[in-house]
Amino acid sequence: MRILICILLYILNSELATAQDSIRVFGATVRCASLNSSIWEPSQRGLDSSSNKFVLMYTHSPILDKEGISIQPVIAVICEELSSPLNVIDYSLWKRKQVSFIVDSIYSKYSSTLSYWNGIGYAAHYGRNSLVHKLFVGHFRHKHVGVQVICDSTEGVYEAVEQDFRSFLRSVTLAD
Amino acid sequence: MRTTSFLFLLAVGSNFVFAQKSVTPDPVLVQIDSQIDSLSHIADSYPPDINPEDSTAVQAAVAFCDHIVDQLEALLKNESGNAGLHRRLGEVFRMGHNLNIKGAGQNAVEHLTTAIKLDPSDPDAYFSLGLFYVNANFEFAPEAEQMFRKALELSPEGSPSYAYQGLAFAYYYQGKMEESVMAWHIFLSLHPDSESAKNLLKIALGKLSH
Repeated sequence: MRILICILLYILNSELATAQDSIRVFGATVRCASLNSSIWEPSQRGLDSSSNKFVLMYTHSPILDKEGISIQPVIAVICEELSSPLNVIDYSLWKRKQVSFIVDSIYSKYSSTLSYWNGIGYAAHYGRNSLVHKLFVGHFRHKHVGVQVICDSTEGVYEAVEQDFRSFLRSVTLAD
Repeated sequence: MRTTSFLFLLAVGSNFVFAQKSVTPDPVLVQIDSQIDSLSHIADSYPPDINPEDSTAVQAAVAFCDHIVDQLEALLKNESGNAGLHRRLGEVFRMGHNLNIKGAGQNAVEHLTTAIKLDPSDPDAYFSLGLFYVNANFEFAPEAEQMFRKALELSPEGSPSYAYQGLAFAYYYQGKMEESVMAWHIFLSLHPDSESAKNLLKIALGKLSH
């Protein structure tokens, strides 16, 4: 009986650990981890008609930093169709021209920060409205689909969400 | 209350269009391809994998190279507009350049450029020309970068993984250390056991931090 309970708990735990979300968009399947819905609220999911990009966005419940400012970290997945199969370096450089940040570290599947080979990850920061933002960014490409993952927080509450950022970025894969 | 969706808004807000390319595989000349493959084991890069003191071995490699050139040139007489023949000839001359065969470098560029003009959708011709440029002279690194990027753009998913290695060198020679680091990361994601790539990534990271 005890063994049976252990097995059931193991299976349940495995299921929770591998709970995945899946987006079928522009002929590709983008998979990523399902976030804890008690703290990460899905705030957008669908095709943005003005940009023709599929957007999946989660907003964290407010966290007070040391200054008493209420911060809501964001995790966003933005999928777009590319007219040409850009290599992932060019895709990433192109995206960084549009969405600039200061790179602190570069990651990949090789560094075990990502699990999908055709992706570049960054630990980065930028400043806005007197706040330093700390973020993880991933740029992925599969055939004619490019995916940006932006995990954005401020320095003051970064520690509270860093593990979620890392886990989410690592969970992203693309396939047909 | 502040939200942190500023970057997200920027990321959603734009659209770009690129030209579309396709891949045309060429199944001709399998036998000569086998000979080219054998030559590549010796002369794919510079210096060639051959003892320069061993004149017999050097002469044999040069003779083998000449033999493949002769066969391809004979075929080309009847099919001067065959892109695949020009590409193969360019590839053999590229390796001939690594064997210090006089005029081989110029012939390599001529034939590979012709191959690209005749069939702009062949990634192998761009890759070969990129290899020539990146090995020939640091000054050709921008040209090499363009060739490797084009090869990747035209190739099936992930197939020309060595183009990322070429790109890493091309970026490095131009002082584009961040891009070089990115290219080594992708190459190592595909070839995680490559010790030379690991060392070159460390070197590029070292230059990046200065």
